[in-house]
Amino acid sequence: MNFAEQNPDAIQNIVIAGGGTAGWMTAAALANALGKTCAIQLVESAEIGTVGVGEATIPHIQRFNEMLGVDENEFMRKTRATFKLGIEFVDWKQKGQRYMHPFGSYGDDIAAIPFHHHWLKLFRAGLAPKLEEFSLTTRAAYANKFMRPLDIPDSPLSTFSYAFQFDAGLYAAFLRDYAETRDVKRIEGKIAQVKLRAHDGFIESLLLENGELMEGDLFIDCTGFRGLLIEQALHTGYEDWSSWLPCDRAIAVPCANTETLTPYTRATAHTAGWQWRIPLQHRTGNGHVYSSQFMSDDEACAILLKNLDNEPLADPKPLRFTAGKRKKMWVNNCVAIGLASGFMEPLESTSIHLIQTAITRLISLFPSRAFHQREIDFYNEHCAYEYERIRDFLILHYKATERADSPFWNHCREMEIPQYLRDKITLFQNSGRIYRENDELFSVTSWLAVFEGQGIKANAYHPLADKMSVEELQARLADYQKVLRKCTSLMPAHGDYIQQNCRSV
Amino acid sequence: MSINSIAIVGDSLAGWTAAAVLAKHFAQQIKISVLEIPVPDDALAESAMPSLREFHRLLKINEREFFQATDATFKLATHYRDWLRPNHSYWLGVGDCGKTLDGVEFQHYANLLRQIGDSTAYDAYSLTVQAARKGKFNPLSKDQQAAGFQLPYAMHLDTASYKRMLRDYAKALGVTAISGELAQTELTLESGKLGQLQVDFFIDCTGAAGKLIEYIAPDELAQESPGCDRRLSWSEPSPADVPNHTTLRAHDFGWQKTIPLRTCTHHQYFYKSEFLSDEQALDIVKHQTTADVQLAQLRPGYRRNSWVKNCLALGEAANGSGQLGVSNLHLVHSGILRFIELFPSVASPAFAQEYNRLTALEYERIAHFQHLPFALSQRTVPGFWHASKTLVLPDELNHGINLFKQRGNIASYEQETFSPSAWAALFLAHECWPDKYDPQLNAIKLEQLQTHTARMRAGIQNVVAAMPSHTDYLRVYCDQ
Repeated sequence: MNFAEQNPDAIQNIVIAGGGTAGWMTAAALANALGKTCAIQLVESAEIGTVGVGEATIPHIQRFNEMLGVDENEFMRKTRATFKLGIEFVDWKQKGQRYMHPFGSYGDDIAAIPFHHHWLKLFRAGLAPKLEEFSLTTRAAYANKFMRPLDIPDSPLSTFSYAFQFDAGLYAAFLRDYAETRDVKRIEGKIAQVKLRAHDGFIESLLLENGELMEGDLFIDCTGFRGLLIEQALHTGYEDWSSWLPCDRAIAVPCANTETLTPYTRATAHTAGWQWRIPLQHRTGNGHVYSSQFMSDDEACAILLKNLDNEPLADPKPLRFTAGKRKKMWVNNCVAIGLASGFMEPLESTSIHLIQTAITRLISLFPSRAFHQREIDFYNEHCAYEYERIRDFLILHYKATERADSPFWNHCREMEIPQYLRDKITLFQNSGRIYRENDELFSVTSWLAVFEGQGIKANAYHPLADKMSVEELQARLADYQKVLRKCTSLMPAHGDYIQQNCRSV
Repeated sequence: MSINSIAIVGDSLAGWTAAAVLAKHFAQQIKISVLEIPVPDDALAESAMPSLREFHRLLKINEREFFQATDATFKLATHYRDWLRPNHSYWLGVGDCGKTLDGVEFQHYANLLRQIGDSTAYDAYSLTVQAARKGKFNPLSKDQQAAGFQLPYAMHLDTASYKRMLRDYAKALGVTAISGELAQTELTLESGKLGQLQVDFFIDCTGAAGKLIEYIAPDELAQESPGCDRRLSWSEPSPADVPNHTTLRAHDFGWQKTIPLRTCTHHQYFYKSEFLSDEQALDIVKHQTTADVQLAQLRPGYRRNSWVKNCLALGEAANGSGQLGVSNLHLVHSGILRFIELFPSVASPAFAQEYNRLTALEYERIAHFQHLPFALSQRTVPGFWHASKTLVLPDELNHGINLFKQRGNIASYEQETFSPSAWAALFLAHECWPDKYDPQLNAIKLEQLQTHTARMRAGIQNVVAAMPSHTDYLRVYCDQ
């Protein structure tokens, strides 16, 4: 049955402008969701490089894989992926200090009160082991161990989560293959002009340099920073967040990987930014994110090269950006996904996640040719909220520092921060409480990890944590540590696990 | 000594059990008579052990006829309530829990899983417990047996009618029943004379009183383990859905045992007279029932020498501790079968010596098994529980507990009644989890173990789901 027979207003042609991670994730997901009801075309040019944003992900990507029905081991083999249990932050609070932002949680709730209140109680009595002692994924990460969660009732081994670190170029190729076998048509070409309908400013077609005209009902802008459709044609405008997130440049370089495959990403703070380290099966990805206001490109490159595990495998590749987001991500019949919709540094590996949520949100609000404005507004409101909450979480990493060794850190420490973040910090300091509001991405665990890791202390804890005596709590926590120690000891080495399950050949 | 005649003294289940099995073995060679002096303290119902089925096979007693004659029900488990502490309960199934994997007993795997936080109840791996919890029963099909499932079971039975059944059986094989009473003046056992009766060997089945054995060898019973010396019994009509498990519910002065038969459910309130007077006990029980209540005096503990000269004590005359974990009937079976094995066809004290040595070992091990729940109980009420809990642990039991607490190994001894799996289940039921796990599991693949254990649990659930209710099964089974 043809969908259009049912609904004359149905979208029948979708044009995706640009390939890359965003373009091909969108193509794959829409092909899967829409089936044969809709023709999907994607235009990209082999001459235009992709940024290959964020090679590290967060656990939500498993849902994307599930949605596509992708076999995880096959996906990992094809993208030379490793497993990821968290992000290690080095030198952020102060030089020489490190902490893990783990996936999964700390401890178990006790009598419906979150674990950390009980931990805080012991901590304030001077009796608490380090918070990280209560995170299975932190223990496993530091021991370079990994296994997928098991189904064992109440075991910590059944409740943690994990993500992947992969080659974004290979990921795009993997999804291109997926999309093309599901009838997405790839067109090689460069976009010369975006043609708008005169009467309402909707996009009518894309004119390619070779003269071909691509017409469509719905256009997805995956053209990266430039925002060829959303910005250059539709002049949507950009919200600049660089007063809070001053880094505006990055320089990336791969190097040979180390013998031990670490199951986590590392973010090491430097004097005017930070450096990522993402271990893959075949190489380690590195990059230095910095602020051009506080550091020259040459110095940034020198710092990067000095801090590699091994010899570089390619020439360093520079990138420029402005932290912020498009004022609207959906305008008329154009939806911007990926870097065309905004940019936040990959400090918490959120780039691919933002592509994923944009796609799932688009599918859930999938329009007809009527393009009702209320739905578009709704989409934009939700995207904006999501972006802003991630932004606030990123700002926390810069703001909550004791570093005073460079003008950059002095600036960050002293800067004004958004109201939402201020309130979140104050609530925690006053009462130990952390609330996850609406659809904000980062969980209580995430906020707690960064608060604790960067020196923000709570001065109180939940009053109901006093139901249990200090001695009872100590015994309970000691038991929990014992369980975690045992769980960790029984996990295989990360490298061995990959070898046995998903080694790329 | 050549034995040509045996007199069994006591109209008890022990007496007629001994008569039946001796008649089966020796009917042609030996004259067997039962002196039916009353043994009023015989319990009205028995919660038997699976060994009863072996006994029936030996005697070629048809199981269905046994069920029809004795108001019997199937028994798959025992439900221990309030034992570890009030409002806590656990189940111990008939047979083993879990399957041995790669030559390592299942409790080691359960222990390992527990140490990584697994909260699955140990009895999730016991088919008998799972079926008992749901009140279901059906013998396993060939396919289910081929798939590795086992459903060992025991029975609950009415003592008086079962005794009649064995009496008929024994009489048909030529056993003589002589009615009468026993007066002290009649006892001249050493010459083989008991009143008018002149025989070569006596078997004392007179219950806790041990009227013969006490006469020739007065003996303080060995009792190092906790136990009760009083029992109040009464019975009530059974509910429409008859359970297929025994219930043992701890109370402040002892425990209460409930044995469900098809038409009649028997209750036994055990207590220790040191901590509760008979009047007080009766008062407590009268709050539960309006039925007639019978009082019996028990002698917990066991005789160190149950075979003295030409007299063998059997049943409660030898061991009065068949109250917990083990049944009196089981002790009778094991005693009489051991006697047949060591039958004194040649005049030598060696047979009696060996009998007493093995029997004492057996009884001692049972006493330790019965002691364990008291040692591990968290009940702290003064009186019975405090006294039971603070009783000095025998060295062997102490060693067994220490060994288990290390990494789940079971100390093994000669003449053990309970399997290592039963010991492990008892430890684990009392939340006594070892500190470490067996090093044979060091290289284990958790993913495989998880799959395996999940399959075991699901398999059990499937088998149980396909079973009819115990009541329905029993009705069809007995009405055929």
